[in-house]
This record gives sequence, C-alpha cells and structure tokens, in this order.
Amino acid sequence: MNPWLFFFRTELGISWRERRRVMLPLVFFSIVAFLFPLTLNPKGHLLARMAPGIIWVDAMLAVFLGLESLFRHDHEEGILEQWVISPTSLELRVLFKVASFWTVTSLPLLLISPLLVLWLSFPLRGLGILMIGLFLGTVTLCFLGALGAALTLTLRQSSMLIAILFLPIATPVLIFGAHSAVLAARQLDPRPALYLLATLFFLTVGIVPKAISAALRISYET
Amino acid sequence: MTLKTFFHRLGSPPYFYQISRPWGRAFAWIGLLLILVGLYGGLWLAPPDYQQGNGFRIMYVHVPSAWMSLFVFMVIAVCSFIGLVWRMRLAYAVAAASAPLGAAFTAVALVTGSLWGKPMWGTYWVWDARLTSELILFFLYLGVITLNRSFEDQKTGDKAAAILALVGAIDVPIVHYSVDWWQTLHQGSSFKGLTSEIAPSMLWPLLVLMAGFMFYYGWLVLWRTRSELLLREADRDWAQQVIGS
Amino acid sequence: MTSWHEFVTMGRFGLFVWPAFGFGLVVMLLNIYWAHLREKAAHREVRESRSTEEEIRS
Repeated sequence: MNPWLFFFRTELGISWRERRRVMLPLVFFSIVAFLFPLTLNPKGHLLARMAPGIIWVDAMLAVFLGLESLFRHDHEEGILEQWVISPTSLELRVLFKVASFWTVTSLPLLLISPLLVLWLSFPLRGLGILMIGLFLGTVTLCFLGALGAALTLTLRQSSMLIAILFLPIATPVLIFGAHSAVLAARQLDPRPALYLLATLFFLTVGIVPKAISAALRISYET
Repeated sequence: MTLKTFFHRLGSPPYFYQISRPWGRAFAWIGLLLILVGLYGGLWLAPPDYQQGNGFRIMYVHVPSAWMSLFVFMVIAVCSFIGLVWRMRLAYAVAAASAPLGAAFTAVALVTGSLWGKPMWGTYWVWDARLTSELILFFLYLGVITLNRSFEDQKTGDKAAAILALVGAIDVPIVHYSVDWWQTLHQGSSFKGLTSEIAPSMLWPLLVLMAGFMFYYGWLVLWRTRSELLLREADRDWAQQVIGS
Repeated sequence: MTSWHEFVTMGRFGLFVWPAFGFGLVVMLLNIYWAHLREKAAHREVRESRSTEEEIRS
C-alpha cells in the first residue's frame, strides 16, 4: 500500500476514534440553520433569498469550530515534532492531515446540506451547484483555518486569535461561494462564481500547505 | 561606501540605532512642513468642487491615509519576506514597528471614508470594494499585531506574524477583486464619480499631503524600530551602552 | 475659500469635514504618544535585563 495512503487512513482512523469531533460540527451546523427560520419570518421569500448566505456562513463557522483541536493532540503528544524533524515532506503530511480533517468534519456537512436546503426553502434545482460550491469552499476554508491553527499552535486559549486570523482571510471564499448558490437559485449561469471558487481552491491547496509547514516549523525552532 | 556595504551595515542594530536618529528628526520636520503646506492648500486655497462643494475636502485626509494603509502593509510584507528568507533581525523590527502605524492609518481611512460617504452617498457605509477591503485590511493589521505579541519568545511572534502578513498581502487584492465582482453583479456601478479628472489646484495639495504622510510615517517607524530593536536585544552590549544609567 | 465663515462651516459640510480632520489629527497625535510609550517600555526592559545580569554576577 502506498505509504501516503496509509498515512491518510491512519489519520482518518484517529479522527474517527474521537467521534465527538465529527458530531459536534454537524450538530452545530444544523442548530444554527434551524435558528434562522425561527428568528426571521419563516414564510418563503425572505428565507429563500437568505438561504445561500446562511448556509455558507454556517458552514464556515462549523469549520472554525473544529480548528483549535486540529493540531492540538499531535502537538501535545510530540507527534508534530517528529514530523518536523523527519526527512519526509512536511508539506505532504500537512496536506493529508488537513484532507482527513476535512473528511471527518466537513464532508458530513455536505451530506446533510440537502436537509438544510429543505428547511430554508432554497430551490431544490440549485442543490447540485450548492454542493459543488460547498465542496470547493469547505476544502479551501479548512486549509486557511489550518494555517490559523498552526500559527497559534503553542498558545493557550487560541480560538479567539484563530478567529481574528481566519475570518478576514476567508472572506473571498464566502463571497464567491454564496454567490454561486445565489446564481444557481435564480437559474442563472453559476459557472463564473464556481470557476473563481475553484481558482481559490487550487491557489490555496497549492500555497497554503507550505505556509502551514513554515508555521509549524517556527513553533519548534529555538 | 558602496550600496551593498551600506545595506549590510544597516542590518546591524547598533549602526541602525545610531544613524536612524538624525534621519528621523529630519523626516519629522519635513513631514510637518509638508502637511501644513498641504492643509493650507487643500483647506483654504483649493476651490470648492462643482459637484461636492466643500465636502470633497475630506479627500485630503482620507486619500493619504488610505494610501498609507496599503503602503505600510506592503512594507510589512516585504520586511516579513526579508526576515523569513535572510533572517535579518532589523526587518522583523521594522515590520513590528509598522503594524500599529498601519492600523492607525487604516482606522483614519475608514472613519473619514464614512464621514465622506454620508453627505455624498447619503449613508455612512456601503459595501463597495474599497471600503470592504479596507475593513479586512484593518482586521489583518489587528491579527498581525496580536499574533506578534502573543508569544513568550519574541522570535516566534515575529515569524508567525511574518507568515500571516505574507498570506494577508496575497489576500487583500483578492478581497478587493471579489467584492468588486460581487458589486457589479448586484448594484451596477452607482458609487463611481469620485475618480473623475481632478483639477491641478486641487491635486497638488493632495500630492503634498501624501508626501507629508510618508515622511510622518518614516519618522515614527524609525522611532518605533529603535524601541523594537531594544526590546529584542535588551541584554546585548550595544543596547546596554546606548541606554546609559 | 473667500471668507472665514465659509472656512468654518465648509459650505454645509462642516459637520463632516471637521470631524474627519479632527479624527485624523487625534490619531496622528496618539501615534506619537504610543511611540513614546513603546520607547519607555523598551528602555525599562534594557535596564531590567542589566540589573538581573548584575545580580547573577554578584
């Protein structure tokens, strides 16, 4: 078996053992989404128009929720230090680590997004585009968030700081993402937004693992 | 002295500490002079705008601060790069000294922009590309400052803030573009009209003020960099000698 | 500008123009004050590190 595939599977297994980490963002994602119909006027139009924004902000908050614990465990157990010292590529390890983080925390969000679409009376015909957008967007958000988590690795009470680092940088993803869903809901061509989102996706996946590795390295330099 | 040896010596904190003092003092006086001349030209000499009346004069504080907010972030990004690649201590000190100044310029740009927006657009805030990216820039400054000061070891803080600054430098143009794109999708271009041709009698005070702000920043950044260097090298001999008992 | 009155009222925009310049001025003066505070903190740090060094030596 390819060693990187093995690494990925091990990471997945570790995350899966702490199932709470999977359930929490999922529960959070659903509760936030169900608060909106209750606090806004639940009759149709307004809700349907706000649905893309609600879903996207909600997804971003759910990703943010898990960030603090992303590297925490590996850091405390000294595993990260091993990674930093080891001759194998730290960038690739980071890439697979974040990919497994995404699989465990964000993939479930994608899978229950049809439920949210029903709750928020978002037109069903836009569901496919919404999910493609959410896929591209949550992966990008996970990498950007992982950077925030890596920069604040050695600090206690880091979640507020992660918010300050992560949320401003995540804005373009939200703008393009939410508007791909808006376009889809209005039966307009969503491709411009999706292409821009995909550009951010590739840009982030290409550059940010390098930045995350650099951030991890400085935590272990003296 | 060739340029290369000059830069090499500039990288040495004691040398920088020594020569930055007279330079800073000169910058302060030049900056003050330019700002006073610019204000006189902008607030008194320049004729009222035929569309905006005297309201356009807010430009003379708004545009220089907005320009400085971007310029200072660029300085921070370049210094961060130099610091990370060549491990130059002075670069981190300059970046750390610049961040609060840049945040202040950004705050001024945001507040004056709002005050300008009220009489011109009828509202204190619109979500156009410039205002939004300025706001994001402000949050980025706060992030850089907080991150830099969060670590027990200043070196870690410097490097972490440097990485954030570099990512931020890529992010700000993307934010600007994304909001611009979103605007054209929704409202069309209803907020334009401030970028029209500008008469020379209105333009020169603006340029003088921008230069004045640059010198003002130059003065303060040299001053603050000296403090940052002392904080980073407090136990070195040169710092002990500079601060006599 | 043709008169002091026009200068002070800024046409009808005085309420916006002067707060804008006032805020700018306040922040620019605060910058100077903050730089001063930072310098004081730096000097204190240098002195403290000297006294601890002397304690170690003695």
